[in-house]
Amino acid sequence: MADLGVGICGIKLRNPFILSSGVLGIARELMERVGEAGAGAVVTKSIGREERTGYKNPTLVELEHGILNAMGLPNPGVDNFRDELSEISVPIIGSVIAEPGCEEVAGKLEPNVKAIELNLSCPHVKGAGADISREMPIAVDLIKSIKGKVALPLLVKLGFNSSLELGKKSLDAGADAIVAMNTIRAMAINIEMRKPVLSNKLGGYSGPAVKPIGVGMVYELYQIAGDKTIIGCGGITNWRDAIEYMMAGASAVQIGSGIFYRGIEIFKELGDGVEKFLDDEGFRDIGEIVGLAHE
Amino acid sequence: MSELRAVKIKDKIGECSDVITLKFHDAPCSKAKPGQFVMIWLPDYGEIPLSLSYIGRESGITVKRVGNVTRALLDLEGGDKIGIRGPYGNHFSIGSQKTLGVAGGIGVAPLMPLELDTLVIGTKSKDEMPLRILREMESNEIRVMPITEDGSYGKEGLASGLGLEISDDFDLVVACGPEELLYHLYQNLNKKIQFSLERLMKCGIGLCGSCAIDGRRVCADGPIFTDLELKEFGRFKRSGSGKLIPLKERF
Ligand SMILES: Cc1cc2nc3c(=O)[nH]c(=O)nc-3n(C[C@H](O)[C@H](O)[C@H](O)COP(=O)(O)OP(=O)(O)OC[C@H]3O[C@@H](n4cnc5c(N)ncnc54)[C@H](O)[C@@H]3O)c2cc1C
Ligand SMILES: Cc1cc2nc3c(=O)[nH]c(=O)nc-3n(C[C@H](O)[C@H](O)[C@H](O)COP(=O)(O)O)c2cc1C
Ligand code: FES
Repeated sequence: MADLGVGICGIKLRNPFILSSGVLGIARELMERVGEAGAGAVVTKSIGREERTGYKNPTLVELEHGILNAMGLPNPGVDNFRDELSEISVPIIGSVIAEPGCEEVAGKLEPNVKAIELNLSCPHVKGAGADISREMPIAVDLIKSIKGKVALPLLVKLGFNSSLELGKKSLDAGADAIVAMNTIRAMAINIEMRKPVLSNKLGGYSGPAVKPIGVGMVYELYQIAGDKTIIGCGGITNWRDAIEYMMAGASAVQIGSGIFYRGIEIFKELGDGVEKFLDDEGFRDIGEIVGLAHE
Repeated sequence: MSELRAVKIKDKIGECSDVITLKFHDAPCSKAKPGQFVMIWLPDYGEIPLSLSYIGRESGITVKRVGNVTRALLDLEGGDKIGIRGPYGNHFSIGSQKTLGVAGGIGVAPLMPLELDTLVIGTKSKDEMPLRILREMESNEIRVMPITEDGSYGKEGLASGLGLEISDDFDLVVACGPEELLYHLYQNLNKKIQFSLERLMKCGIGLCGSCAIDGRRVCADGPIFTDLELKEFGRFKRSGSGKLIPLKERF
């Protein structure tokens, strides 16, 4: 049977299927449960210095081909959140909101996580995420300050609107991996109500509709990444999607909205499906398919 | 898949002080199961979870005024529109078992579509007792046993106490109401129980984690539970930021 184990920036994972940020990663028992369901690792909700309640409802709406959300980065603040991370058996990646002072947050998470993920790409919160990544020098400074503060691997999460150049600059500034991608800035209007549905009006689009966009981003990033790692994310709902991302160049993949489409059981489905594919196609090790589509 | 729709209020019924029922036509709701909930959106006010109290060609919600969105819902009139997504969550399943319902006040809402044998419903006093609903349930051959804290209607005492007292005669207990009531029943009942819980809901579809309780999601693994670990249940909930706070505090 093919080996699904991967090494991501020196961290050994039993498989490359990671829970993406903002989905269930707010409560200790839920993270534990996702680990028990078979995830290789879990990324926490994006955490900031201060407690935030996020936007008022509606914060999410299902659309025909995907999911639109603007939660507004609700999180209990790093000091309250640290308690949620004690004694979890699955490897945890701590997601940090890109805002001034985020290296302090990363430092406080360090004892309880295996890596830090910098969320440079939340598409709907002013002064954080994508708003910051538009200012390339600030983004680069944040990356350097986190690398200067914590000894853990640093993943930088980009959005569809981030340029390839930001990817390159992030890696040059010391990022160990790029995660592509976050949700895509979007809107839904209910025509009978004559209003945008989300209270924030604009939100981020995820789910099946965005998969080809994510795959394209990973493919392009792989070409400039050298020996650094790319992690794919966006619209993965079955094992074929996961393999597609890996063939585009992702060493691991993250799953968010897929939890809605397939349930928490999705991690087992991915493992079983990918393993069977590798066996049927004569691969010994999942690493053999990474970037295969470039050959 | 359940996309958002806008539906027109067909009928508004005043039930008792601060409680109304709104009825509407909606195809997905007509196929819902008892205990499921919908997310109701009122532009400019917000969006909240509400149980379906009527399921069928005409479905309905029964709402108690507690804050912003519920206050605005009480002000609606026939012909006004509400946004709706769902039905979401799991449901009660009572089959042909002889079932006792125990409701604390507005907790009667998700029990209304069920074929109960008996309903115990408790409120503080008579003016909070939804008398029209009780009559309607009686006309559906459900035995109704009202109880008030001040004795102004029916027996005097608490719904949980009365429920426990008579529970021996039933195969199954279903319950909804304040968490103290549910916790008390759960701890003291030696019968099968299915109870409907509340936590702060945002996404409503199992993604955001806002409604987490003891490793489960009220929106997707619930809202009906038959068993829970007793770590957060009865003690803690999560605030809007996701922080664990004592149950008694406001979100
Ligand atoms: C599955 C479920 C089914 C429910 N069914 C009914 C029902 O049939 N009838 C009914 O009257 N009420 C029901 N509720 C409770 C109802 O959702 C709250 O009363 C409502 O959200 C209050 O909103 P508000 O804006 O009026 O109050 P707010 O001013 O926002 O708050 C008042 C209080 O309401 C509660 N609350 C507020 N927002 C939420 C939220 N998003 N999710 C859960 N609780 C919240 C909190 O306790 C808060 O302190 C249900 C709740 C859940 C979770
Ligand atoms: C409800 C919800 C909340 C999210 N919150 C965050 C977040 O806090 N930080 C972050 O980096 N990404 C967040 N995301 C983005 C996801 O992690 C993921 O990048 C995106 O949804 C695309 O993947 P998917 O199609 O598998 O969901 C969120 C997505 C959803 C649906
Ligand atoms: S409300 Fe988002 S997971 Fe339940």
